Amino acid sequence: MDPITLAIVVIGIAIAGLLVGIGVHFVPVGGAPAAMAQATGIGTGTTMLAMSSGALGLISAGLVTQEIMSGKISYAGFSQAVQGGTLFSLSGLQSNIMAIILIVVAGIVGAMLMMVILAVMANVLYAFAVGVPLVSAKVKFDPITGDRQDLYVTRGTEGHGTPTVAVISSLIGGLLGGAGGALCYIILYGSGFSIGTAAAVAIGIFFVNSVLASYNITGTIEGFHDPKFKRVPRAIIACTIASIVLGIWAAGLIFMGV
Amino acid sequence: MTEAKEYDWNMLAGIGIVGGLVFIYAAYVLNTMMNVTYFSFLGAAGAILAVVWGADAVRRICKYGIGTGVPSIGMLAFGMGLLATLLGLKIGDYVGVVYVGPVAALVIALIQGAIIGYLANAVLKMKIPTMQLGMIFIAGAASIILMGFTVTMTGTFTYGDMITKVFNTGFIAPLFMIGALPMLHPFNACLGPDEDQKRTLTLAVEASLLSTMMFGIFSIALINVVSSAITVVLGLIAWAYAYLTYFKRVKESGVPVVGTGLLPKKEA
Repeated sequence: MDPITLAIVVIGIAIAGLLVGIGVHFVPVGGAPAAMAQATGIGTGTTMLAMSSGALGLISAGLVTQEIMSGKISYAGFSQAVQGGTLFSLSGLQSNIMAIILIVVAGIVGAMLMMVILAVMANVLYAFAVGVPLVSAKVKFDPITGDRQDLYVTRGTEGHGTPTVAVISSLIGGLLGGAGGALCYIILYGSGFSIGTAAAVAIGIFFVNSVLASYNITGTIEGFHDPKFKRVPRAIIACTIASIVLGIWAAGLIFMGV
Repeated sequence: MTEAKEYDWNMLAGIGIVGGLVFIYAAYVLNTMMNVTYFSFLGAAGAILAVVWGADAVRRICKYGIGTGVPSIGMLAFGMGLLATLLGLKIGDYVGVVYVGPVAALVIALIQGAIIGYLANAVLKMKIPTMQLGMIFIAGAASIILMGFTVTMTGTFTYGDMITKVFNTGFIAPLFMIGALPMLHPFNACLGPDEDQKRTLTLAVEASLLSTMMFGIFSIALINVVSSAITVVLGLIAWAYAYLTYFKRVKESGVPVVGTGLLPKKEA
């Protein structure tokens, strides 16, 4: 195995992990208080959010990979490159870059879809079943719609539901997380891992980065308008180093022949 | 509550590492030597020791409050452990000595845990004193749990068998989730000011025996019905005992709630 391919794998996994880590900071995670409509955000923990969006991103990325492999979407040379394990050599990357982008975009679509389902379907319940307005307590005016927030926050709570700015933020989070997950999957699959192994290892890398990022925000965040968002440089360092280490393990496996 | 003496976590780590590896090797050696698959259940015994080790590390980290909920740490542990275990077993495969695999996997997982623990404390500034050592421990525990339950499911821990029988069939998904549950669930269920190490660890044993039965059932597809039945029956007997012990411990630390009736409407 030539060293350039191994370097590309390590760098690719580092970028993928970094995207996941930054993406988590955009996702409005409310935790248990949000599930009781006492805080802004989606009412579950980061782990479950990352898992659901990451898994749907992986499924859609895997679907498109399979369609390219089986020839439903025709892309000359892709399946030969995957079977030969040369997709991430320099020449393989050059000739197959559009297919890789297509797969990454498929992952993005899946993850963004899951995010918006989680945010908006829960909003329907918050608005019509719990009966609370969708507001954030972290800002006085919604940065996107300009709507007044603080008047509608119930005293003793930190907001309710997922307001517009948080939904937009969750979409950005889905974009970054889905791109990271799909990139990780295609890197592993393209360098010789079987489908199951690539998916499981991608989920493992996804978990490490999403949990590290959620430690950085101590479990809850409302989106890019939250003051906690300023902590993102720490997560960039942590996720990059963690992913480089994971990438080295993966490169070691590829070096020894998967 | 009484301050009963707690088990030291280094001692639990020793039991987890030595016991876990011994059982995993014993299962493999006995299975290969006698050319049978009946000893697969020994892998689960090793995994259970590692679960106790991991669950204790989880409770010592999460006692400080990590803000993300206890389950996140179990998922983090398995995310770290998965790739490390694969690489370790591959090293065993690569050098041609199968027995190197589990030790290499454990060592790589420990290194991985040390790096993540350092990142969590120094870069993310979580300031949890037990984080550094705790992360090393949960990563190592996750690695042994993965290998132990793989032996339970397939009867062997070689890299090729793990890939073809566990990963390519998709059994890795339940292995990831049901394997992580016994490690993260006990503290998640028992946390609070009245948390007691022995009760939490009894729950860890109980939960891991439930997982063992699940993996025993999965092994029908991967080994055969006889080995599966041995695992399930032994798991069931041990689970019943562990459950009763746990129930006893819960009752010991519980307090009776006495019904006093409603307040009288008028002062008598």
